[in-house]
Amino acid sequence: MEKYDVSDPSDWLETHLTEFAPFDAALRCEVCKDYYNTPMITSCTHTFCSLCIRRTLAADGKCPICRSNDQASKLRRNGAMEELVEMFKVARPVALRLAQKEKISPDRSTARPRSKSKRKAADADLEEEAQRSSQKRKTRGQSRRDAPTESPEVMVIDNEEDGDYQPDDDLVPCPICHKRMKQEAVFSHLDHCEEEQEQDRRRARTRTPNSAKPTLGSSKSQLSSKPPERIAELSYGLLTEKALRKKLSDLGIPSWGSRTLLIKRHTEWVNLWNANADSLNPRSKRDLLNQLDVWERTQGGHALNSAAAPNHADAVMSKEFDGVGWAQSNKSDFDKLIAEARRKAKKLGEGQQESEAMMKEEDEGSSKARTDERSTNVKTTNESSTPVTAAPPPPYLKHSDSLERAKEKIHGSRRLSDASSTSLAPEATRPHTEIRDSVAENGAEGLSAEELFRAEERRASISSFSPTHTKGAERVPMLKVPEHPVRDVDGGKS
Amino acid sequence: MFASKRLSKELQKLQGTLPPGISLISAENFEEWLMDIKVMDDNPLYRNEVYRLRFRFGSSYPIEAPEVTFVQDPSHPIPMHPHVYSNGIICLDLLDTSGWSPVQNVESVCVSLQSMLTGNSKNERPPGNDAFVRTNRQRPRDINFVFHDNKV
Repeated sequence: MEKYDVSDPSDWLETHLTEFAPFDAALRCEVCKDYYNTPMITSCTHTFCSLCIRRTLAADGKCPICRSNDQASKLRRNGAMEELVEMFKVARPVALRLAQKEKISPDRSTARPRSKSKRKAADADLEEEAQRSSQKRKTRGQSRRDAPTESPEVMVIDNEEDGDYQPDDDLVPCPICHKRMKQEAVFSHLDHCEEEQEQDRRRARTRTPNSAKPTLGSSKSQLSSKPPERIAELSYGLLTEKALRKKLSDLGIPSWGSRTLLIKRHTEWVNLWNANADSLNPRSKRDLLNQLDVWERTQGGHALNSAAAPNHADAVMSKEFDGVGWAQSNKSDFDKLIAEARRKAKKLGEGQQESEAMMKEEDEGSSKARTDERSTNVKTTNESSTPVTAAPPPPYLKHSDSLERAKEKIHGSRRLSDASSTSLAPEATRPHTEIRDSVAENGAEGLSAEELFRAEERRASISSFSPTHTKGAERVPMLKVPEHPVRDVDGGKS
Repeated sequence: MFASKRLSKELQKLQGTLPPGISLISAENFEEWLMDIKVMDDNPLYRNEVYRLRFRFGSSYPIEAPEVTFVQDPSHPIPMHPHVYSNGIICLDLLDTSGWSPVQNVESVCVSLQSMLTGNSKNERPPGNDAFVRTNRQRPRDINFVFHDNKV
């Protein structure tokens, strides 16, 4: 089972500050139970993460808390809440650590192991948040300096402000602000330390989310200054599948799959996109596409269910591809294909026998290898892609039974005709069979009787064991005027 | 991903304190959990019995409701209730798309079921129970329940 590093309001219950638990809970979204991420307020004045409420409204159009109807277009950003959450997230680890420390001191023996792990969790929390954004890191630095913590990781070396203190191995922390500096510099620093802190604090106060916005954008360097536009929701009922597909590809998202899947994907994309557009700190489209990809794998077309996309060939090749499930869900398609193949086989079987026999006879080794190779190719394409996209294989490859019959024939006749079969290049047989195929399609019925007759005739001729005759009769393409006059040895028509 | 994160939060909470009569039995993954519930008052129908609930979560939980059914084994019967079929399927609007809200969670569902049992005095199964149990092959989420009883 995956482990997530989760912070929870219940973290406060074991500390001195149990009253902080409901406060912490109030800053969390009721849907994801995490701190509000781009909080949005509904018409019924409930607040949720932008993505959470958009997904919920897309699913049932109701507020999760009071069940009153609402629309995504009526959501408004809850800026005050956003600021509150960001500030609390910064203050939380520090406060939690402090609260835990105070709690331990009276009964150290019992509470210790527990609180230790808690502290570790809090540290991890801190690190994770530190990675999240550069802006937060800055404010964190501020709060660290302000807060009386003793953790060794609070080594904020601010090069901008203390350019003259070079970070070195033998640095000592300032007892007030914990900045590290050379020992001899501490005393002079102490004189103006408090003053500096005051300045910092003032700066922090003026750095409201609005003023922080440009720095955020530039730090990400992915987005232009103008905020991304919202995508309008579509009324899917009014769109044809083709139009819908076009909409998706216009948006730059995958446009494969069934209509239901297209709708689901579009909905998810609209939610992701608009939630991102709400954000003060929007991410790049590539990030969103990655997120959509995650969705695709967990809930979309790549999730293992019946919605699996038939025209996505890579899915079939992947290791976790559910072969049995695939076979079952596409059984009707496979059955249809097989039936079709059988029908064609019946129709062409007799005509094919002969050409097959001929080919084999002429170039046993190489043509056999080629046939095998090609038949495997055809097999894979049939399995991995839709029947429509599979290139129509040479008909004789499909008809395993007629192939078998042909082989039998060859084995029977080979003993006799070995001497007669000269080397004819496989290229020569190629156009030959092509012509035959097209003819077979046009008038297979009329032809087959004739061909059957010819096949019989040939068998007779082979068994008569006359090399020259075989040469003449065998090598003539079906509907081509032979270059040299055909000798009509035993009254056959050609 | 979305579901797992939320479930891991719920799990953390469930492993802490729970309301009386509700306990977590197993949660080995983020797909299926087992919970036990007990009716706390002296309702003669449910006295001294422990009922086991199985929660199944889809990947879009909590947007979508979990599938919740009673499970039967030698020590855990299916409670008698006019809205609980003898195969464990529960007819409760809270668990249906129409009544579910992402604000609900495993704990709140358990509490709701607990109170649904507590408030009941009829020792009976839903009408048509036998036929339903015999013929139903659908998963609970695919059944179209009609919610008519507002007393529960």
